[in-house]
Amino acid sequence: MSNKRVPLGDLFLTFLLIGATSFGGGMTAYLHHNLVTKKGWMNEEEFLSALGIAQALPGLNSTNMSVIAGDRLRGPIGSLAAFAGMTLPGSIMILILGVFYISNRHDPNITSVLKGVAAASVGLLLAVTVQIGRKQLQRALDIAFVITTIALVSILKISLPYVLLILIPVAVFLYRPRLSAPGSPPQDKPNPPAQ
Amino acid sequence: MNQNNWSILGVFSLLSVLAIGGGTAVLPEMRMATVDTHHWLTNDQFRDIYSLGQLAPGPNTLMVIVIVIMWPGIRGLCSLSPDSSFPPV
Repeated sequence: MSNKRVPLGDLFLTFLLIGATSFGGGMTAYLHHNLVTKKGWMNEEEFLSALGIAQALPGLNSTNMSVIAGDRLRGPIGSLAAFAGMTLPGSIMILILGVFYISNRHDPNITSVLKGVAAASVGLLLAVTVQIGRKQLQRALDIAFVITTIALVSILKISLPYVLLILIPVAVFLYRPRLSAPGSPPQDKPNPPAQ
Repeated sequence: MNQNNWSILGVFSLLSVLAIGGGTAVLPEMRMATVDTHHWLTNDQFRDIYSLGQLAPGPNTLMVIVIVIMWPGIRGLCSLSPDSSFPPV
């Protein structure tokens, strides 16, 4: 890790900027651009390892990432500063939008605009899913897991904790590392989610 | 804090723990908990609030702020909870 101490104000402002400019989720690109390319606070390897931890831990990737990066750059206080910067602009904005929506929620103009936004964001989600899926879902077994999960959650309406309790042991068993089975690719264990 | 505030805390804490891999992973579960199980929102309102989360910068899951500030009004409409006194959320 770089030895130079990152100024706390600079850290906060950088994350404030990320929090204020990243629309539509998918903040990994914004984080990478600011932390690695623009500021040079982390190198590629440090960024990817922090991202790996952020994705493996429960909670939102972006806020996890702000806590981890803040800690690496400036310790626990850095974590707090980065987290506050990351969530402050969005929280204020959505508070204003929320209050406006609540008082206008029966206005058909407002609801049709939001209906349009929802449709667009579903498309966006689908695009990201296909993008990640193309790399991750290569065997019939992978697809089978996707279909089973969709069926359990969307059709049978089973609560997510139970779905995970059922599927995780099965997945861990089926994807356990095996000695090179003939005809299968060498990386025969679950890959970390690529993004 | 009355019973309903606790259940809000419980629902979102559980979602937070389940959100491995990102907030979108728990979106169906959030809809199920807030719309089907607890009736804090209608399906259309959930969709509208999701859109608000997309319009605001930062993590989309900040939409939960709207769900929570909206809830007392919804609660009054559905009169689901037996107790009538609750502190402003």
